[in-house]
Amino acid sequence: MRRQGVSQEQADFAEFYQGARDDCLRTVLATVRDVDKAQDLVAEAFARAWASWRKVSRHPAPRAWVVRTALNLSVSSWRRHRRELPLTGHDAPAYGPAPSRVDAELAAVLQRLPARQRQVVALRIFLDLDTAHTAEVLGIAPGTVTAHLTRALTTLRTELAAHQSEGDRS
Amino acid sequence: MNDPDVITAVKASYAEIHMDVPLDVIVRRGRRLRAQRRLPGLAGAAGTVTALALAVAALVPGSGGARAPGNGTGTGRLAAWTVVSQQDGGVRVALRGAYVRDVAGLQDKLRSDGIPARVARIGYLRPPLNVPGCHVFGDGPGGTSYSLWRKIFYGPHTGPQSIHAFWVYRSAIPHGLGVLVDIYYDGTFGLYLVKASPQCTGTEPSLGTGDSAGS
Repeated sequence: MRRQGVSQEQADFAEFYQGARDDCLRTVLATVRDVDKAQDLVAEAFARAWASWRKVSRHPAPRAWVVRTALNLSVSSWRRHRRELPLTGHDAPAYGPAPSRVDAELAAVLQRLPARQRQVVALRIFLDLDTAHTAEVLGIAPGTVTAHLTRALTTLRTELAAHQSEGDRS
Repeated sequence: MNDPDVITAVKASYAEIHMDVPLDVIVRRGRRLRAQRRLPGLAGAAGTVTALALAVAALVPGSGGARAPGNGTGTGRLAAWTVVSQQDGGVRVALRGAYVRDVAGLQDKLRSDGIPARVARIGYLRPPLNVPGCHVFGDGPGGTSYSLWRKIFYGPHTGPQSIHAFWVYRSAIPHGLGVLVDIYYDGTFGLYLVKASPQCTGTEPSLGTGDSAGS
């Protein structure tokens, strides 16, 4: 009986993972900028979601829970790593750096946005979160979310339009 | 260009980004996290005391003995890892959080203790299938059994020690096998079995065991 419950839980989690993993990765990637690091953070966040699946599955926005966890991990990882000295002589990853798969121009524009604006854009665009949930994930007021989103979209629109007109002229 | 166009462009630009960590890796890691939570509080407290004792000992010059503090990056720094031989024949390896960079030193120490070992930083939760020179066994068909894995990494214990420490029971490692320790960025780890080879574990496939070497 208990085994059946566990396998149903795992099936539910598997379905959640398959459906949410890419969007969560894209959201975190927009913030941390490094594909490998984003994968690590999101993988750990999903592992924690599975470890607490009974709680997370009842969360109103489980994807947002995963992204929030990944972003928290990113902050604590950065706090630890800034005290470290790089040492050589250890095994490098076998798969090497990830190829650039994001449109370079757009990525550059996105990365120039302030961190908070990037986070808001990522949560709204990739996770389709509404203002209230975005505010909850980021721990800011809904009005602040709206302001960040408006500014971010204005910047993106202006810069993309400029790139387009440059492309048209050349 | 209006807002929906911008949103579409941003979405499209990330369309080729995909998460490639397999589900079973996530589930395994999640199970490990659950198991660690179930450790009784007393054991956790005892573990903390032990870890503090090891860390203090590692700071004191000349306190080596059976211990082998790693990451000798100067004074005032806690050791990144300690390897302690136990009376029951196992070796206890304690990692110290995100300072674990000297994986080569830890690998050398384990090998000198007779353990055919490879220590690597593959990357958090990456399937460690592409470790150069290594054939990594999974726990499914064609892999090694979970009971063997438990014998090697748990020995007489019933479960994991903590997220930053593990045991290796070298007498349980069959001929031809070795261990792979994958250290993650936050100082936790994954433990796997590999085929022993000079390229992977520094041992000949037929000599991959050992109570013979080391201290």
